[in-house]
Amino acid sequence: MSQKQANNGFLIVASKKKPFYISALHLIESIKDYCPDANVCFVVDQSISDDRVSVADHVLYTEKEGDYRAKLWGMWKSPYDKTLYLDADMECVHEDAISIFDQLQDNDLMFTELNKDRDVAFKNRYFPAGQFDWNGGVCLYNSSSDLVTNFMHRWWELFTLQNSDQWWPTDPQTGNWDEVSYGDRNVNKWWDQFTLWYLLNKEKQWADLKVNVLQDDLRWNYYTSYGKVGVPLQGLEPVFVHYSSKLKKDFFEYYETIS
Amino acid sequence: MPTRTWIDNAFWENANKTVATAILEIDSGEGQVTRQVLQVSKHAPDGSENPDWNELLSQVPSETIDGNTEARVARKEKEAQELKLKRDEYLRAQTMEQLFEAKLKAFEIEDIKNSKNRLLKSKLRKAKNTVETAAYATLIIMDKIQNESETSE
Repeated sequence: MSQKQANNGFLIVASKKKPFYISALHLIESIKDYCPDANVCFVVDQSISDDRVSVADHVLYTEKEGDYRAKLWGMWKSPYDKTLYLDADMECVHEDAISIFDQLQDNDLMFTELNKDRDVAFKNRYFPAGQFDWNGGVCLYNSSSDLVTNFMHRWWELFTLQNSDQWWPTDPQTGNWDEVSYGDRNVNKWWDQFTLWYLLNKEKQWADLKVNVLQDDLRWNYYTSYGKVGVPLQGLEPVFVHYSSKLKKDFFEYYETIS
Repeated sequence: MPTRTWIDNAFWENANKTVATAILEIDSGEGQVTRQVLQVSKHAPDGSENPDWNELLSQVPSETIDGNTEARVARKEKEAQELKLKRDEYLRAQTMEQLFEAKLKAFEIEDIKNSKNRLLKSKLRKAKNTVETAAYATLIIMDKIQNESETSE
């Protein structure tokens, strides 16, 4: 029997660096600006937080401070039935945000799509055995399903092992990372997307998961860098804007300077 | 024996149809083929007939050049529109990024960070340009100072 609340909510994660925390606060506040009734869960390292965390309806302090992909731990721990995970460097700019939960229907996981036109926003998408098809910056998922919750736990667990060199896709000849199939270890070991690909394609227990692309997916994860390479919005209004530019990096450097 | 062929994608350079741009292909007859892009005028500088012009029009009819010119103008207009759209999108993206950065910086100003004025802070977050951002940032700081002075009185 699930102890989770019978409701839906947004899940935002900030770990390791204060600028992520500041961005995440801005994102949470922007969701509340456009959707005052929205539930927001903030997963955060206590060491970088202050009293502004109270803007969130639920605050979960990470068990392991400075986790590189605390997002995966947070996604596993969602207190909601349907959850929309959002990267911290995003901003809500439209009241339609709250309607996202209607899209889930009988899907387990929904993402925005990676494709050739959008490659500008995603580095290292391709490796010999496959390619990443889902953008992990936004993920709508059925967090009331045991299968999905178990998957989220496994995603976090396997990524942690992968990232700390305790697990890798093995070349049976050498026992090392199978570079022929899975590319450069020093690149892919950092990507939770790689773990996601591996789980969905190589671990049979997740075969029943229904994974789909969000409708009008550009709206839900509109990278400003898309505008710079002319990926057309086709008349759609963005709901969540994703800032992934050098300018943002400059802000992070600026923050480190003043703090 | 060399042969000269004007390629059939020539187009007019002016509305009077007295200058055309065309590609001339010359086959030396000994296995060497060269191509040149030429601007061909109806008349030579001294006013006499230009033999290249006559040769061009004998091989590529005036109606074909009309059609090429119309298609080229339409294509150039479309390219210009697409370029403008791309440029606008680029500038929009750049403005959004600069605005985002400005807002994050504003929210780290102590008086704004600690302000409880949710309405003004919401307006600052929704500001559409840097002038609006600065204006709302100032209002929040003034509001904070005013509240502090009222509290201390």
